[in-house]
Amino acid sequence: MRKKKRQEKIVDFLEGRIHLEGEELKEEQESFAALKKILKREEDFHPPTDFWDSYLPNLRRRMEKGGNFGFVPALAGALSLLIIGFLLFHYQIFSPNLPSISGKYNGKGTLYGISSLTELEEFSTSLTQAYGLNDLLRKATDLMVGNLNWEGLGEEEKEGLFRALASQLSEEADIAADLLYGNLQIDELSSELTSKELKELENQLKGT
Amino acid sequence: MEELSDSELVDLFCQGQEKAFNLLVERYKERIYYLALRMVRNHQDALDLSQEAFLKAYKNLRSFKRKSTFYTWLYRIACNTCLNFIKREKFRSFLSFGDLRKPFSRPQDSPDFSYERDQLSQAIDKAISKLPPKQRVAFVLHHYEGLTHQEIAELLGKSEGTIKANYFQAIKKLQKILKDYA
Repeated sequence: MRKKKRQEKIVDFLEGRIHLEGEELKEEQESFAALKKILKREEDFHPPTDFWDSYLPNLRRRMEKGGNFGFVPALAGALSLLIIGFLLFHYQIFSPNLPSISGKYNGKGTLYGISSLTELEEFSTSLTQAYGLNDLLRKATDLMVGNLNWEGLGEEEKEGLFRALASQLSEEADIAADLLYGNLQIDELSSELTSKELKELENQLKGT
Repeated sequence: MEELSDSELVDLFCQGQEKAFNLLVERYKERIYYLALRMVRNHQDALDLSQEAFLKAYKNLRSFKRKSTFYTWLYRIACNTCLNFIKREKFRSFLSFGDLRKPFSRPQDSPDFSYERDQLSQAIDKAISKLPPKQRVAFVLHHYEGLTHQEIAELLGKSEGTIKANYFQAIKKLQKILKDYA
């Protein structure tokens, strides 16, 4: 929370809403001014003037296309789901004991059963095995907990990779990524975990 | 009809005059296109996304509850369309291990609209494309679109503090990536 508050304060300071003193802040101010200067030098892109002439006709075509074919893909999709569902059930590809992604998260910031990276790793492994996902989840988790170190991969790329995967797979992994990269502070979670448990989780996440 | 307000055009559309929607598109196509362009840094994708936003608006306009202005509603649709696209693209680039060093896949612009961009513009494109979705949205909406942190927070349903923290992290990363151009 303190870190987030500090970041908020610095933004307010950089944008001139509050006044603060300090050598470190002076450097922040200089770097911010330099960045603004760089961004200001960027060339603006403008599409050719005749570009807008075809915009509405193209959009109309897309609208008509969407209207004409709406029912067919819906029906095809429903039939495919029925067939896939029957095949999965028939060949017992899914069983009731498999881990559930949505069951781990109640949508209100509460993490059920996952309170550390080790548990997240175990959860990911079981998902990988159970659902026959390819190696991606495994690799992302390995990357996150430090078992894997792709040479030349920067921190930002790691974050991007993990986030991409987390956002596809589970809310709790996304929350973990937010915590890990400081977008979310642990006390923002309206969690059922005790403050001590939350602190431990935060320390574990930061420790990786 | 051109002098009618957005609200009146929405009324006409709901009464069955579909042409009223064309006027709404004419009115906002540029703003929505440029919003998408700032977000995805690619002309062709910006074109598709801006049209996708209008398509969604077209399909849902009859159920528009008018708790906000038409433009605010459309703007929110466009922001979410872009955000979803960015998330999808990040995932796609993750699947393609050959592109690991390019965190955001950038399809080629259509030859008709290819444009020479200077090195700095390309570096800025690349730097912004490297930002995680939340940071990118916070940065683009504040820096390029001129929205306040409070407005962005309301638009995305987050707290103002979270948006400021996302913006802070975005500028830190951009400073680091673009330091050679200072």
